[in-house]
Amino acid sequence: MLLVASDERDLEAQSAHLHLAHGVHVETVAADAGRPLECIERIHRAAGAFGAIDAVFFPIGESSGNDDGSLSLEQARRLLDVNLFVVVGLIARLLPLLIAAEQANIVGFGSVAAIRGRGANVVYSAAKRGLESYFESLRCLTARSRVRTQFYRLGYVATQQSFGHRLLFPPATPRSIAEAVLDNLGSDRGIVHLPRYWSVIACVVRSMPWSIFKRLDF
Amino acid sequence: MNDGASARPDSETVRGRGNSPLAQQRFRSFDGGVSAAGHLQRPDRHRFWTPGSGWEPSIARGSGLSYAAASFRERGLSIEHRAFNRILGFSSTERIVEVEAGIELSALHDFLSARGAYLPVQPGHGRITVGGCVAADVHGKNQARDGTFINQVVRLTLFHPEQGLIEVDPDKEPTLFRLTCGGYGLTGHILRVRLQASPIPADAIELHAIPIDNVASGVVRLARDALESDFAYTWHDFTLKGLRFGRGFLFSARFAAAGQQGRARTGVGSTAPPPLSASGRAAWRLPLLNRWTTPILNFAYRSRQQTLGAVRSVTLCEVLFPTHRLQYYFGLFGARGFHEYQTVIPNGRIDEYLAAVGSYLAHRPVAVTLASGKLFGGDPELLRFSGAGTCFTLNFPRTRGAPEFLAFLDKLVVRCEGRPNLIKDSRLPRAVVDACYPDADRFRSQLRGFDPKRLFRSELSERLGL
Repeated sequence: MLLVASDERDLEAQSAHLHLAHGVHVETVAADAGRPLECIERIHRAAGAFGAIDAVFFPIGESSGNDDGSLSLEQARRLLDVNLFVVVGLIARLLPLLIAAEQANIVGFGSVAAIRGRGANVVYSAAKRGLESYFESLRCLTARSRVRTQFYRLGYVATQQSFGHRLLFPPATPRSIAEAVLDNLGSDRGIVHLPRYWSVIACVVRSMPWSIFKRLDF
Repeated sequence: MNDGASARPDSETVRGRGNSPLAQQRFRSFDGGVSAAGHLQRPDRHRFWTPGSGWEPSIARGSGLSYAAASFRERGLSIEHRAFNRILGFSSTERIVEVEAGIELSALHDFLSARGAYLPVQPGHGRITVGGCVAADVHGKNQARDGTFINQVVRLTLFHPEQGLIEVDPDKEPTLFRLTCGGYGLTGHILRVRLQASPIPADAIELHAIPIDNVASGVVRLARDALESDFAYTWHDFTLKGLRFGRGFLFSARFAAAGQQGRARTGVGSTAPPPLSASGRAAWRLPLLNRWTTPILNFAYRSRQQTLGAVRSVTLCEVLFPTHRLQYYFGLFGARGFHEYQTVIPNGRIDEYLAAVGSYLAHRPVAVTLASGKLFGGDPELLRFSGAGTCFTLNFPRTRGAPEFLAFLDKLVVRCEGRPNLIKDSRLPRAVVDACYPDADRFRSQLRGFDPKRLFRSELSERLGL
């Protein structure tokens, strides 16, 4: 397993645990996705040592509390880099390896923030909407191969992002999300909402008349 | 995973230290005695532990299962460690395991038992974290033989905002080591702990449930059997009167001798323990344990033991974590909760202590739902709950008669030169602690010497002037 995160200390602890508790051989790359070229290069180099790749997961993202339309170009660029470009760039580098594998999965993670643009998380939502579109295309690109492309639109998950917030619906645990993703590996499903009830909410939000939607504060 | 941004910020939600969000939280001690509104941070990245100025006073929090309010205070900041729950290293030859302090005992037990090892000193529920065990220097099922949790700690890593990461080795930093183990989290955040595990000597454990006629004979039998057992404790029925006062059982368990037929090794591991929390315990509002129902509960327990038989085979997990199957018991106290009064009474004074308790209960009945004894040993030091004698535990509901009984017990423990357990009593007054712990002032001065700004505070530390 190749694990990528921004902090070497977290990677050391996680890889030690995975090795000791589950017997998994883990290599790590500590890289900042806000520097996509360097990040992609280092991951690609490390991935080369593994030969065939079974699955690539992108549980990556970053948002900003100031993302209200006033972000500077530099700040907006970072959100786009982390949420979109680093994924696009890395898949481009890894796709030949994935297609060469007997069977492979590419798993992307978006956000319910991308369902419909709001007055908050302006750039973040745009990046995640872009990511969804990218994965739709990727699914077409890999349709004739043994690569399965999956995309999850995540609702509330009990992470640092949701901690301390009053949520409209109960958050899912990262473990339950991970279990659902693993269960679905190999299937050809397109965009899936997790938790599943978000598909209903997404439908309601999308079809809501503008005259009502603009009055909502969420 | 990034779940995006449809969350509605709480009016009071702000980013705290390390850009980690702060949540408003209503805390509650497990016994239901203390409730406080404060803030909670739940960091999950190591970069959070970055020294520097500007850290406000805080306190570490594990599973939040302490009976006393050791992990929170009114308007205080609690920093939860449960995301730091990984196994960092293991030496199969030395049986030394290094873990992050937020790991739960049952998870660690699963890991160790699969490798033929276990920790002899563990409290009764697997949801308790290793950090909490170090901070309270907990005891297990045979303290007289195995000592307290500190005996298993090889080394620990402490984070102090102004002193950074400190490797606390008992040989190189003996004062800080002994101040931290049993220091109630007041020296800093325990991040990593290196523990010495013991080999599991056999797959099978034989449990003997030996009937005892009364509490006095139970204590005598406990003193005789405990050092020859791997696990030993008594259970008494304190609702009975006269010569039958404290009738019950001595539970004595031993690993089976080599070659003896027993359960498979899989029997030593644990299944996931049931969820346990202070709020969950109080979910059932109506108290069901009182002077009338407690005798029924005790009768049912005694009958159950007789049905199960005097000798039976049990798993290591069942012996180490007996409350997994009995945790509904805590819920029966309802939202108001219960009191636990746990003391070590020195050898030679236990008869006086138990006779006085028996006499009190004969005249002013209190629903004592649990009475249990363990043999204790060791030298008392600082605020650690230790010392040679008999550890006696009483549970009773928070009723109108409870404060008077507690005041009586406070006076009695001082008179008998005993030591009450700080972590088991959320209302223990400072005067009682000062009277029973001669080292209390030494603890205070050592703590101020290490941390003059006193950056770690809890309701417990404020109540006891630590």
